[in-house]
Amino acid sequence: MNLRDAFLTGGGCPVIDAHAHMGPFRSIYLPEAGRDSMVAGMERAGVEAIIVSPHDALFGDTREGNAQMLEAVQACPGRIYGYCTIHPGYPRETAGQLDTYLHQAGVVGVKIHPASHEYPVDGPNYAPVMERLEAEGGLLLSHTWGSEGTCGARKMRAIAEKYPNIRLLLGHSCYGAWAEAIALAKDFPNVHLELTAAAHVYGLIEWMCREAGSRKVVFGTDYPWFDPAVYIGFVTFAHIDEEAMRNILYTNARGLLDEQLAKRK
Amino acid sequence: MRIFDCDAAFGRGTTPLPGELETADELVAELDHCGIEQALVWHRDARERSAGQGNARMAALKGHLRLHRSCTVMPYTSRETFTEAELFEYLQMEDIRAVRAFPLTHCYLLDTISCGDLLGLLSAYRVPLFVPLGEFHNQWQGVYNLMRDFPHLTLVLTETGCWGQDRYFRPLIRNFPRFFLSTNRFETAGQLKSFVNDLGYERLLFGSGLPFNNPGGYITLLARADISDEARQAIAYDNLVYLLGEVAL
Repeated sequence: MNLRDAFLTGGGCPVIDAHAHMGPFRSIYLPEAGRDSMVAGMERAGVEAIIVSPHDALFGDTREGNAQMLEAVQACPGRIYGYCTIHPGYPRETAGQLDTYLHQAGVVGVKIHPASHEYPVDGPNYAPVMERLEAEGGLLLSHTWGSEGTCGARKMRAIAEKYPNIRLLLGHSCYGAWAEAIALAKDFPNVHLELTAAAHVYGLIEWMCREAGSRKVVFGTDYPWFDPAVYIGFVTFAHIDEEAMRNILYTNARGLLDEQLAKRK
Repeated sequence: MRIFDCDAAFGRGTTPLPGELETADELVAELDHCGIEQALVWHRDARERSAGQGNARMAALKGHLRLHRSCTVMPYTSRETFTEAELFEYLQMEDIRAVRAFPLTHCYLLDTISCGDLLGLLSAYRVPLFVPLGEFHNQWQGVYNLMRDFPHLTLVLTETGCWGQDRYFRPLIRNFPRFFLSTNRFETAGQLKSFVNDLGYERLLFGSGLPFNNPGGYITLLARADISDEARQAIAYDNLVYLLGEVAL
């Protein structure tokens, strides 16, 4: 049975979701937003692990959200990993949040959202984060959207050039600015395309694999926003070979995770 | 699972897409890849060039028995298209059982003042009208106004957005028995199961959104959703067959 049909009938291969959240969100009906229902949803869809930044870390008091993240990581070891979220609007808290969370077991990187936090990704308040991740070869998931703005492809290219040692996940693959995002992944060894929101676009996964290679495409869903089953289907119905599907669904994220976990031993 | 897609398009548009389906043959090949048995189809020219040019392109579907034509409509106010009488004669003659509208792109209001006669006749003949959410002026308020003024209209809302819009569409489902949703962009985790549990499965139609969207996500979601097989099959196929069978031209 091929991988597509296996997923349709309850089988498949291991899956890691490198872009997940947790908890309710103001403008979206999210029936699976709680931690327990998310884990149940992971079981149902065949998702082995997720890396989360709770909504409260992104859209409320970042400190509370990061505490929720650690609680979830510790409650579900090996199933839930965490990103420490940094809010550039509170720069005096940055060092403390990084010191508190970044070397906890199961906390594997940093999440930033320059659009919601209305602060450019190349601004000085993000520099301490970038410098630390650059020094450690750390993992960064940044929201990215379009070509311009606070975190469009143009600014992300500047970040990739300045900090080549950061393992950079382009969250949403600079939605809409596909060619620029794909070029970034192609040009920089440590830049990866992440599929949240992007994967619904017919033909896009094929384009990413063709130009940047399937080793540079990482599965993500904004879970509990998007259903893992939907996103798995976007990958398994794409016109790519099964090795590419497995790279996207699991192998690439596994490699990034394992690299970070090894540093915390 | 048999699948009848309520929302597939073909043709070359203004903006190149990452995945193009320029011809009916290419569309059929993709339907085969996805295991989709039949589709209710429109041509991108109908939205992006003009309704008349798009409708003329539907001739390319003759001979494709799995592809069912839909006709793009506009109000007769500017005398650019069919009169209402001509439209219904055309639909009957060509055995076309669904129409589509793109009011924002085509610059008119889908309301009583602009389209009252057309909407009244579509309601009377039970011809389903497919409209993307983004084509309504004022988005959801426009949908609410239309259903309030034409409660017997069979409206299928497509491209409803991927971010759990239940707070907007559930009141419409509860209040208007002829209001339907395409599953195209129905992506929120647990949303399908929750909808079926709370509101039933009769008002959901499988839609791929080709060539804009990758159908595989919606197929996998439907196949794996924790709903009954009866609900699954109804959404995938039966509900659309029933809707088209109700047309009384």
